[in-house]
Amino acid sequence: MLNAPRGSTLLALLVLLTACSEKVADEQRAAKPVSSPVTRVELVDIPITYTVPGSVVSDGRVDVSSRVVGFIEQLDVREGNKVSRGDLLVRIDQTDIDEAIRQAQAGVRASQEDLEDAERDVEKYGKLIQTGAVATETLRKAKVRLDIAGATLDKTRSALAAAEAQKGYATITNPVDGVIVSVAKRRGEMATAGSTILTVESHEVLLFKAFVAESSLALIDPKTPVTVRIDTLKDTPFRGRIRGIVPSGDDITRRYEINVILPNDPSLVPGMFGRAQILLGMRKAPAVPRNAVVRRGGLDGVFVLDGKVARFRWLRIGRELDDSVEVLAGLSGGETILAAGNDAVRDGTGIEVVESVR
Amino acid sequence: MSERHLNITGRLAQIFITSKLTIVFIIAVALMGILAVLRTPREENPQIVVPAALITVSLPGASAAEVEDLVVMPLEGILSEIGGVDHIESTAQNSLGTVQVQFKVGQPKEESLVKLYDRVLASRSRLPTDAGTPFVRSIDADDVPILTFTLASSQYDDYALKRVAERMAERLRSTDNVSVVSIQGGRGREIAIELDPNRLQAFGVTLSQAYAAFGASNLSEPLEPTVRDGKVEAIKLSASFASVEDVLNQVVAIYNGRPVYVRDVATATDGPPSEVTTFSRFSFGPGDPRFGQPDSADLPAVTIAVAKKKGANAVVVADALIDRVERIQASLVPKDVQVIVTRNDGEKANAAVNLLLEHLLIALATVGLVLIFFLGWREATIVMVTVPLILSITLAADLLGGVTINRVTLFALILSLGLLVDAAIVVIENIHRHYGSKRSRAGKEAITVQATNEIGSATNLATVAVMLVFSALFLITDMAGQYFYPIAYNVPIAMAASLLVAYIVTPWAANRWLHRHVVQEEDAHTQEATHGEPGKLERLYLRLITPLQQRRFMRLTFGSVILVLMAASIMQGAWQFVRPAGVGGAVSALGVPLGFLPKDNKNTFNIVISMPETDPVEITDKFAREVATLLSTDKSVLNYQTWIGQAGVEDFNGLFKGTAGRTGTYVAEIRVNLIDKHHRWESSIDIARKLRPKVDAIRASYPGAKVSLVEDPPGPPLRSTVLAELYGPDSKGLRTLSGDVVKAFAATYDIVDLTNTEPFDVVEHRMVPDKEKAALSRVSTAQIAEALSLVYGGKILSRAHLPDEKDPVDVKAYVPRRFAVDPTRPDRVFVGNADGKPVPLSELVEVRPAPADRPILHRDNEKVTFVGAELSKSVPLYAVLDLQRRLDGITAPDGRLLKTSNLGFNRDAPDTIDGYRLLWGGEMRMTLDIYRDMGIALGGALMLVYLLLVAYYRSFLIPMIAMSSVPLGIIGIFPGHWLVGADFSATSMVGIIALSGVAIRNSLLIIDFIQDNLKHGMPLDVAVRQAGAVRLRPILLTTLAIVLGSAIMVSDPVFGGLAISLIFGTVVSTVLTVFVVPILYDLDAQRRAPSARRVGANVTTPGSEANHHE
Repeated sequence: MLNAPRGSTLLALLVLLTACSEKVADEQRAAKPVSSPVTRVELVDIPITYTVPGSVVSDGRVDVSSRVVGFIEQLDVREGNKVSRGDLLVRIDQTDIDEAIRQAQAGVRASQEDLEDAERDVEKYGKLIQTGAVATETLRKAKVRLDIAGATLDKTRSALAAAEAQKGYATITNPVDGVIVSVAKRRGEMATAGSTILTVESHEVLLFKAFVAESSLALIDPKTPVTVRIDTLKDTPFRGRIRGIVPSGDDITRRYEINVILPNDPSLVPGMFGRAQILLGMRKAPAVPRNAVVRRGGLDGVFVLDGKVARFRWLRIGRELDDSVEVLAGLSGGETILAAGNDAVRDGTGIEVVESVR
Repeated sequence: MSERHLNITGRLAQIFITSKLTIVFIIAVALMGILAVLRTPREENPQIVVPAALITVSLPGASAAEVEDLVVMPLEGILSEIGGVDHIESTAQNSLGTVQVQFKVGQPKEESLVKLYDRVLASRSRLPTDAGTPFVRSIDADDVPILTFTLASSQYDDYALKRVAERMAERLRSTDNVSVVSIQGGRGREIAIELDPNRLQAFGVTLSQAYAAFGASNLSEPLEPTVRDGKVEAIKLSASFASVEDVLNQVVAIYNGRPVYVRDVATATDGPPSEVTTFSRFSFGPGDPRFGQPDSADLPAVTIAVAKKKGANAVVVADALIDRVERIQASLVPKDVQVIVTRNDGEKANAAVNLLLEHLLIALATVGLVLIFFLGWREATIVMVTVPLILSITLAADLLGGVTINRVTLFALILSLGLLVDAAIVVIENIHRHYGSKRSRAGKEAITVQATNEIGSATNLATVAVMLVFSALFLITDMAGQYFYPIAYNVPIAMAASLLVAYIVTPWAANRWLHRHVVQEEDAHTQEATHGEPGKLERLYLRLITPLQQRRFMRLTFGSVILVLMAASIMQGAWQFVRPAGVGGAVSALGVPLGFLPKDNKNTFNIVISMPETDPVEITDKFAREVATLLSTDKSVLNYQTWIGQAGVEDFNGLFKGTAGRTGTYVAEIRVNLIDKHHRWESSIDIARKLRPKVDAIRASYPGAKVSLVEDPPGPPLRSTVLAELYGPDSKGLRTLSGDVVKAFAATYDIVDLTNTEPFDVVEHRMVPDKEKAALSRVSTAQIAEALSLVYGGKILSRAHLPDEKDPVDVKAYVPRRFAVDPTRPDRVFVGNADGKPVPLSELVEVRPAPADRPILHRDNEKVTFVGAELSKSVPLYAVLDLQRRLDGITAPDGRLLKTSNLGFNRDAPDTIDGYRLLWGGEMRMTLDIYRDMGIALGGALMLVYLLLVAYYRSFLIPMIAMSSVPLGIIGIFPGHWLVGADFSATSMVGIIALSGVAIRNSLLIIDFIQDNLKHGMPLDVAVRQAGAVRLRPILLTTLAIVLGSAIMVSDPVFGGLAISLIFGTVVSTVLTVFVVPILYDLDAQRRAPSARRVGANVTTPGSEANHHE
């Protein structure tokens, strides 16, 4: 029987051990060889890349604002709504515009009346001049008044057209297919000319925007493709190309903006955080399959085949490549290693090679 | 011959002969002996007290050269002011200066350290103001663990094992006499914040911002209490990290009005650090029954190391600890965890001591048998009873004098065994003779006292001579002096005790148990000569000595033969130096190498690996694994523990070699434990010798790697066996010179484990901030420094406040390897400028590749570099002389000639006034020192004995005749070593000293008898040869006792030399002494009194000699 404090220490210790130690599966007789596929450690091309973080931005980003001033009468879309081209987005209160139209219409009518009166005067004086009842001078003045009346009618007509045109600006339709990303105003608010009411983002062209340090600028060849990895979309790298480097840098932080055109992919959403890997060159380094790396007693390494037995080799793992990892130290290439980790294998375990994986 | 003038001997005998005090004395002495055996601390080897301390001073940011000038040299100056300092070794490296002070051997430890502290702290003002406070740590042999337990398991990793070990260690600390309990190996718990520089950048957070945020958030502080409702209530600010979640939920910055949490920019883990830089693992070897079973090799391991307090008995402490561990194991250690005792100095000491006690008994029994044969069993029994009493007194003196029971102590006892029975033999023989004498009319008691009294002065003289000779060993200085101290202390005490016991107990016992018997022969001397076997031996002796006495030609021939033999014997040692083939190379067929102390057969050795400084820990591990694979094929290997990235548990040897406590990616050690030496045929020396070429073959594929198979030396530890200390004015020059010397070493016969202290050049990326650019970007250098320190190495932010945690748990922020930033392109590291805008580091610093600052070594105030090596089977003397021949006068880097020195009998101090110098250190120096000291000791001893004899004999010449027996022993010594196949070593020198005592003793007894005979009126020539004949038997008896008593030591690798010198020397010396001394005496007497010549010249047959006297 354990006494209470010792018992609890023991219990705590056991819990602790099971919680934080690496359990290895059931033991196997070391004498019996373990079958395992093997592979040769090859020197692979490891890209030397310049990784720069940035985010996905949309190239077609439209800030919708009103041209007319007026209270917003209708604004039904909300952030995140998908909208198509031509959809009604905003209607501004039209009362002022209607009044202006009516005013213009009245002006037109007035100037029409005036024109007709002037025509009649010219006709009347034309007849009377033959009788000599009026002076030539009078006819001339009537003609002038007719021209003026004509011009005034044109003016009032165009004023009417302008007033009617205002009516079109009071309803704002969607210019691009996309998504409402922000709505700045609410119904009933005053829309002033030029102020953004809402923003629509097009998904047609997405860019990856990043800032490159000045010293790295010279190393970048705009023609080489760029791999962009988005953190949330771990498994799919995107290939883009550099659209351009904005040729004006920030003189404080010494960074230049670069834009990478991303492929059209529905999973890409503007604002996503990612890294662009810009290829600078290649170097040779040994790499091992990710599966071959095992952990023994807290050390990461692989089993190297030494004759017929496996010998554990502790590795310094470097960069993670697609399905393999770069080895910084511990292997030099050419060694034969077990292609897949096997819990039964220990240092010195006999190995029976089943197949060679190239 | 009456009680009128009893000397001290007679008086002692008289007091004790019938007294009950004798029984009390015997019982008291026996009890003292038992107490001494039980109470005296046991050790394997005598502890050598060398006070030493390590002083560390930091000078942040200073280059090695700066540290050398500003910290190391002033410190060295300060330390040189202290008396009793032997050597100062220092290292100046970037930002750090370390100075190791070694006091002279035998200096009091506490006092020396107090002096040191005083001096260093008082001289603080001589160091730069920005230098850190000098940190003084004493290097204490008592802190070396005596017991280590290794926890190994295939089921748990080192982190889990360390947690078990921590809990075990807690339970061990309360054991009696335990000093330091430490846990070595295993990763501790840590809250690791792995920062992703890219994410930080994406959120516009700079590293320094993140760092500041962590530091400012982990706070807890008691505040001034308040009074509410008439009661004092405490207030406390509580914002400490208590879990990973707390850390993850920490706000780092505000980005676009949203808080950025740690979880957004980093991952945090609680547990062992994921990036392993040090590691230890354990494997069973073929010598263990568990070998070959699953999970018996390559197990993660953690070691608990326990040191004992000074003066405590290692055996007792170790047993108590093992008992505790067994009980802990039963209660709280999971059964998958194996607990293995990987070092047990207590058991080692106990085994060594017990083995020697056993040897002592065997020696005693052998001597007893000889005595029975020569003296008869009653007399033999009495003599044998005195031996334990004498040993008891000696051991009690050890207990009182603070001498531990160790190998050397016991060897001293075995060595003195032959000598210490002698007094008792002489007394008992004389008593026996008197009992048999018809003329004695007195009572038995009176005769006994008379008999004791009679031989008193001669025995005293001989014994005092031997004591003087052995006391001369006190003259040996330094570590060797401490090593041989038990011999110098024990033998004279044993001799004195033997006299005391012989005069107190022997007469008493003889009086009780020996019977008086009447013998036919009246003459005492003749009676003695024919006691036991009828005088066959004596007749042979007389037949041999008479022609020598009578014929000048025979004498000359005899003398020349002795001289030739002596020369031949010396030549065996000296041939190597004068032979045409040169001093290097294998020892000639008949030669005997001159060494220091041979290696011992041990149960363990250490493989010390130093890879090039440029190698990462994984490569070091690979190499260590390949070596370990070799070990797993050796049947003698019990188990081995590999340490990667750190040195293993320190031992006394490593402490002095400078290999203890090393850390770094290029460091590895494999501690190999062998099957107990009684259960294997091969000695550890042979195992290491066989292993070396195999290890060398592996090393060949790792350029720049250095491996040493370090066997614990039997004597004082040294940096290297063969050590060249190169001094010079310039570090670069020293490096070149070091290269040359290494080449010379490599070309030397039998050189292995070559090491040097010149590190490999490590490429350094020097980040030089561009001050203008930084100013324009509004970034300070301090910010750059902070960001860099986070990226490279990380920073401990604070300590987590976790409940139930035995060790502090650090919260550490760092950039993990998978996000590692290429130092040549630091464009992914950002520093926040004054406006809060991130500026990439690549725009602020220029990266210049350069070789890293090399450490600068000093020894005794001069720049130094060491080249060291071991020898697999030969002795350093020849290697050094060979190297000396090739290196002396080579051109040093400054164009002048290299001066080599320190091969004289006195140490040379380094100086570089005349350019580069090479001083030979290591075992060579030790050898020279010890041979010098032994020579002085022997010379001094002989001088003292001579003066003593002059005083006794009132003659200058007779003592010379008496001492002529000493050089005769040489004839036996070298051939003896050659026959056994042993090196002539420092212990052989001790043997010679011992031999001198024995030889002088023999001749004294002969001379005493000659004079006695002359007093009885015998003619000179008869007196001379009769004395020889009469003393022949007791002399042979003593010799036989010595030879057989010491014979058991011959097989010991270390003390074998002593036994060989003693045995062969004594035999030869004795055989020749019985002829040479009488003849020399004869010649001398004739010269002085020609009239005494040849009274019985015509009587030549030995048989008639006795008649003549009648």
